[in-house]
Amino acid sequence: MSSATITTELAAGQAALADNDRAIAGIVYAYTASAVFWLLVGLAYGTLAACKLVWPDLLPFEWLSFGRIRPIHTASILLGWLSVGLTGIAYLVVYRTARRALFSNGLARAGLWLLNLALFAGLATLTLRITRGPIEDREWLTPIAALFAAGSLINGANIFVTLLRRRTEELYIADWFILGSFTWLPILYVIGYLPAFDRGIGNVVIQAYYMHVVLGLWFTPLVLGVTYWALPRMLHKPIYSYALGVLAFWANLVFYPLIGAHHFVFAPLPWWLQTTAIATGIGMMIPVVASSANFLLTMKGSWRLIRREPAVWFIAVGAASYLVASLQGSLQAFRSANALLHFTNHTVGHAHFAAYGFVSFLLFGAVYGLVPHITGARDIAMRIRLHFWLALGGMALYVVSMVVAGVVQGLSWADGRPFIESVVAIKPWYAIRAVGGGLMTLGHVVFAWNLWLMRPQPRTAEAWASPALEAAR
Amino acid sequence: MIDLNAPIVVIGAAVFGALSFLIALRPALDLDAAAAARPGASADPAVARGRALYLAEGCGYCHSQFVRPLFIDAAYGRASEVADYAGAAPPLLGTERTGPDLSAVGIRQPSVMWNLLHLFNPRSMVPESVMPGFPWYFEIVDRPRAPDGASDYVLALPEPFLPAGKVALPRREALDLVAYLQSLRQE
Repeated sequence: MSSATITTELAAGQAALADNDRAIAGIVYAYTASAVFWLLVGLAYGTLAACKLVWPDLLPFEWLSFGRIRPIHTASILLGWLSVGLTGIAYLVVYRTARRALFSNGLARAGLWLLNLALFAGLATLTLRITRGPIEDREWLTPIAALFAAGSLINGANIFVTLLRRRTEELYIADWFILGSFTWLPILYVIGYLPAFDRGIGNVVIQAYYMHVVLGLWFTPLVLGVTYWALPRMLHKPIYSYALGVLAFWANLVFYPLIGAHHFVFAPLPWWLQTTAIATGIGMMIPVVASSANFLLTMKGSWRLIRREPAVWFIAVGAASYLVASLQGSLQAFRSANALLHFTNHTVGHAHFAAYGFVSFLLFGAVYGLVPHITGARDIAMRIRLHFWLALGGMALYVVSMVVAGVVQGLSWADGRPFIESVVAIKPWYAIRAVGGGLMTLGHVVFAWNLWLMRPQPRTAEAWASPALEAAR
Repeated sequence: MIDLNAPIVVIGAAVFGALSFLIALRPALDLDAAAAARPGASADPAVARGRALYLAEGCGYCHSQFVRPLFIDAAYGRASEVADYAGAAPPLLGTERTGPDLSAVGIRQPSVMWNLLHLFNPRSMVPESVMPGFPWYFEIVDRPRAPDGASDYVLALPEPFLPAGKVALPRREALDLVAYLQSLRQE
């Protein structure tokens, strides 16, 4: 073969890689940008809700009433920011680990359209108080939820086929978690929206199951999968233990589906159902410790590098929050603790510790660690440190104030005092929480600015191909 | 080498499906089959309309209707039972008490006028309350016009709750919401 032929073939290969890279860069960036849009929407509503508990007569408009903006906040954050953002990064992980183009770039774009369509329809209907009622995380009308499910099904199928046609021999541990998430979400969605359980006490059993399993078999495995790829890559070393990852995968699958009923301890539900939920909450420590320790042990020995890389700081905080927030949740489920802490803001603090400190922080880290490489923006200076400190400060104020407020409420109720005394007692903590929410919001404005800096850069075919070639090595 | 793709999806779905059946579907079906509605449930259409508004405005995010068999909950009356939720679509146990439990609020707060004033602006009745008001379910009119109006209830409140010389008249929605709250009498 003449050197001319080799050069031509190399150029053709580079051009193909460049095409794939350009396509995936566009897709991942579109998902991430949508996610950040929903993050800003969700935080605007969330911060407003927090302010309304400090100044109840603030903006007294129908469509900004607390009961209406609360589900908009949760849907925008959970289904918008986290689901869309994690799906985008999952596509990137699958692209990298399969070492070939996605089965279909068009399906990935169609999936995003469906998710965004559902999110806008949800935003509009909830604003007009068209809802299935205050059943947490299932407020959307069934057709809107079906749109969202269709988008996730398309994405799941696309990811499955891409991984089936991968060029690598072994299925990387990150892909286990990603495949699992996209398998479980549709099953969960169907059960959660079965019309047979729209009424009566059976609805409570389904609600308990749904509201917790969506966290444990969708957000948790998806963000863990993303991190199992992102962290080793950011530290230029392999994951500490593949086997611990496999253990976490199966243990999570066995324990997590069973713990939902801890949201209704002491309810007129069978005692065994509640006890199973509380006991498997302790079992959850196995996958939680397996994954968080796996991440922290991967970081061990790389502290010099980590000090210079604020993107990894997000992952360190996320892994630690995963451990502590999960422990907090398991302990809160104990009947003795639950009697005092249930119904209080302790639960609100826990929910934000998990959804923000754990899942969102890992996603922030993955976005900073992976997106600039694929968009060709990795040499651009960003304000990651500023985002980190605002997010961490906001999260700390939020979680501490709500945990303390929860204990204050529980003790006041246990004392048999008039209810309103507990409202008055936690007013300062509500104010501190609102400040925390404000700091988070500022952090997200910085994040949005950083994302704009990360946008896909115009590059030559060779420049596009080089990071891909590097990744393929 | 065995490809792990399909096994992860198939085994994952099978395990999750089986656990979902055991922990959610079967108990839900069993409980529904065993539950019989408590006789004497209100058939008043105003109560049904009020409940729909209670759902729509998201009242259940802050108010539970779920009394536990614990001394902490003793102030709210007897503990809730399966029959209390039979047929309720959806049942409104709730997970937060930003405000108090409402299972028996119809007994605790029997005054229609108090409830209307409280819905219009909770701070007019409970100065420390953080509950949102629902002024959009009221009509604000000049005071002289009011007594001839269709409503039996004329809300006269000082400033800052109402501008001077104005009163608030409940729309049907406000009366429906109060009818629903009055119907909550778990005892």
